[in-house]
Amino acid sequence: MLQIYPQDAKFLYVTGNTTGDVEDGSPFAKIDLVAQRRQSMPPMYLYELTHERLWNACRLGWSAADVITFLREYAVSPLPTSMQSHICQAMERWGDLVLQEVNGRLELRGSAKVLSQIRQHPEVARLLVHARQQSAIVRADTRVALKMALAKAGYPLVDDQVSQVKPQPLDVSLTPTLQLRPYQAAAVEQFVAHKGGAGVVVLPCGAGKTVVGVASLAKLRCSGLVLVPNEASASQWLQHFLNWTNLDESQVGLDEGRQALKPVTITTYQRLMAKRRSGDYAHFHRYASIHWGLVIYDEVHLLPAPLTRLAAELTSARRLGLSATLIREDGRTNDVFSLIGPKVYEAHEDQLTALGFLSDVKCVEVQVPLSDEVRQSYDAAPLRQKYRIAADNPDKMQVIEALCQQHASAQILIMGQYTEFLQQVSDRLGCPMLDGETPKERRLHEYDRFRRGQTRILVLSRIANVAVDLPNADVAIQVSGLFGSRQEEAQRLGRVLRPKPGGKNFYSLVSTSTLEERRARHRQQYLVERGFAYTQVSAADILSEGTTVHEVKRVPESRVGRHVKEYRPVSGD
Amino acid sequence: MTRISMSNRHVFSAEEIDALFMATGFEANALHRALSQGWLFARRTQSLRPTYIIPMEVHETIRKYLFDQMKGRVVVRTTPPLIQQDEATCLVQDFQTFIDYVSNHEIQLTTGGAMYKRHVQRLMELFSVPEDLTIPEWRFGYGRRTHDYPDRLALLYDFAYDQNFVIETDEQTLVVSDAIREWTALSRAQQMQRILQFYIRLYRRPIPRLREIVEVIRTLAQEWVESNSVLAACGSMVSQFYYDSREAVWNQRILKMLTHLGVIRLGFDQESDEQWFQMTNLGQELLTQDELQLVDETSQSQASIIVQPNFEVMVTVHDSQVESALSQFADLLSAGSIRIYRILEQSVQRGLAAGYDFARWRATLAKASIGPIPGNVERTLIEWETMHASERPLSS
Repeated sequence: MLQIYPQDAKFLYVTGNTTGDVEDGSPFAKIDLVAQRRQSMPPMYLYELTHERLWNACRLGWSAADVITFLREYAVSPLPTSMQSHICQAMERWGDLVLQEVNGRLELRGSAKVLSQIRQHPEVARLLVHARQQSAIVRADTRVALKMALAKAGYPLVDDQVSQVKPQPLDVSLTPTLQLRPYQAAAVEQFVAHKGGAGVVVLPCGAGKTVVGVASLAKLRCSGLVLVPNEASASQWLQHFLNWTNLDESQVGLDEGRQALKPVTITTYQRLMAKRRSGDYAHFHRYASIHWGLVIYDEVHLLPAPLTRLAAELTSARRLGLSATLIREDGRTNDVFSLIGPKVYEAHEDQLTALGFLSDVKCVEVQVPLSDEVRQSYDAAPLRQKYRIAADNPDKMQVIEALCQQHASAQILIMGQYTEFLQQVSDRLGCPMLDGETPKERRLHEYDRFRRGQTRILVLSRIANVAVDLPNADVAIQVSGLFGSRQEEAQRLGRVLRPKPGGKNFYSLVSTSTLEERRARHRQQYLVERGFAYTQVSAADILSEGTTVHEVKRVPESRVGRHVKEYRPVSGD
Repeated sequence: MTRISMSNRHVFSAEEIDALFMATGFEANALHRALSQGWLFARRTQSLRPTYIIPMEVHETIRKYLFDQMKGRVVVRTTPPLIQQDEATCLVQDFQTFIDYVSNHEIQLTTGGAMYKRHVQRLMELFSVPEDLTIPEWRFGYGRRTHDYPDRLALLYDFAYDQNFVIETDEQTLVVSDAIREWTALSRAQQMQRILQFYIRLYRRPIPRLREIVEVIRTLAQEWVESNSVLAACGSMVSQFYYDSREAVWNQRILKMLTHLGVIRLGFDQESDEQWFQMTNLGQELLTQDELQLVDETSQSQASIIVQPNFEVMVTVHDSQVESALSQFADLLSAGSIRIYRILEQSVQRGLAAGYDFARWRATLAKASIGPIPGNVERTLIEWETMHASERPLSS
């Protein structure tokens, strides 16, 4: 039973059996449409009624009254007045500003009051040509920029740019052997049913977003362009299309830049962005000249803003954004939704883990002390070098070795920030290492070998953060991380989240009493608050072997009996 | 006659009858006329003065007639308004916050005897129903501290002072007295009722017919009613008070306060300025049942708290005793329908320095908690205890 505990104007706690409800239509699925999940500490889940979420609800056809009535129905105590007026105020703004095509020109329309308000924001004002009292002309090429500037200033813009031209139909269907998981089917269902035509599906890493993309295209039966972050995931998409649909290589393919585009084309964001020496885009016009039935944006949460802006300018009947849980340290999550479309479906890690679609992960923080020698140089170093010294703590090497011995039959990914140290690790263990400079062919080759189990251990630099399908990793060891980036932690955890019996391990090596420790806490807080376990063990325990297992069991299971958690508050929290 | 009939009771002392007849401006023999008309009866008692009785059947009939007449003038709606202000038991929640805050902070008072602004601001951050702190220049008549605090806080403060829960010491500090123990043992509803009774007692001076007005509201507002139409039906019962106009008395002193007291809920629609209100079930109970009868759903279930691995403690079912215990070693973080406390090293240190029993506190925590306390929290607490327990002799 869903229960809502309103907390103040924006926050509410939600409790109940969330795991049973990944299918659409349940009250839990609805909560995700109007509010953003902020914490998940079973049995309590904290949600925030953000502007962006409320506008999302507007786009899905909800009114303020619908939202309030829905919340009231499940609330255990009356909704605070401040919450109700927050909802009304946010949702009232929706529809105030409309972008329309009038006689071939783009016109921004709204009441005189709103228009004079938005002119106060210089970023918005400079994009408006011929501003009159209740309208302003907008140049077609600044449409997306205007949308972003308005979203930043807190004004939603009604602009469903989806063109009316009927897209080329394409005979595409799924192979009958492919069984969609219930949440995947629900995601496809929600996206296809959404009238606006554009939407974002948010699934945790490893939950099979590619399948959702492929199935959506098959359902819409039209031409498609798939934008992916790198070559590795491009070839993964291609494989999925060939394996799971009736399309053959004449109909679906990676775009190499020269040959004619196929009805289903897969390309990378880099290629989309590539410029000639003259400064013109090299390929953009090729993609833009075609009227696509569906454009799929893979891993949208990773895109830097300018790229998202450009990508959003492609014309298509429908847009599908696929995203892992959205957290950006730059706080620009809003861009994704304002440019691609509203969130139409979301499933959370803990739900899918409980249903057995993702594996249960044990997160262990291994505390590695600095040796006296290193401690001295750490203390002496200027502040900006301290982090690096702590990250490259040489004593981490033994711990890595010990862990690899402990998990003798497991497939292990070792990930880190600084390549120098990673290179040493790879030399010591005699395993391949991949970084940004590794040629594409070799990278794909190594991924493939790892996937087949021919290599047991793989060392990856920061490139491991982006979408690559490494289905067989049982253990991930994080040697060092980016300055407290929670996004990174989530991505890396995603490497071991794919389903496999017996659970997985995620080790994070942290030098004790250093800057790194504080950064690590910041990243961990994120995981703790979304229901993941974090246990702390000392390096000595790992080196003396066996104690890890003991330590993990010793900590009592949390209330839901799934995750073990370990976290201490950062001072000054 | 109207006023006698409006009242809940049907037995009156001679003084009350005299006052009632005088206030309505009846001529001197009005009492005799009432007696001779046969709807009011005198009864001799041991004391020399008679008591007057109105027979129940007559009382009921007149009452019904009068209310029916008023009801005819009140605008009613069947669909609920979109925005509703229902504060339920927030008032006693915030009262608890206030008491806990005073217990755990050293509060110095100004020469005028008020709390310094920074405390009031902090309280407003913690209250589930915050108030605007700007206070108009002219304020008197509604309690001892009306001129120092906004209305709701002033009521809470005056109540606490009246009941001797807080004491303004000679050193100009504010402290909580032991009298509070009896209070924390009461159920939420009983607590609400006591504050409601205090409100009627306190506000009766500027609004002499407050008791009747509340009775009118209770009877008329079973459904959603339009505020101005009820004010019109009340007629001369509501009148202006010095700086407060009649409308201000009605809106600020009666409806707003009754909303704070959980007796009514206010309602608004997005497009119109009309204000609506309706009695709450809680309000019905508070006004019609005596203290022992008040059933409290929370007293059935034990207080339940959840200790989270990020050191937050969530209280989902409220219980004053558990909450005041929690505040010894944890800071209140936010008070909505869940109260969230956070255990920090400083708060534990503070509790130890104040001489509270940490081991007992941990036991209480474990007992009231649903499920075990997360391992990391447990271990850290023990760590802090050993670390700071040794410091205690130094600090005390």
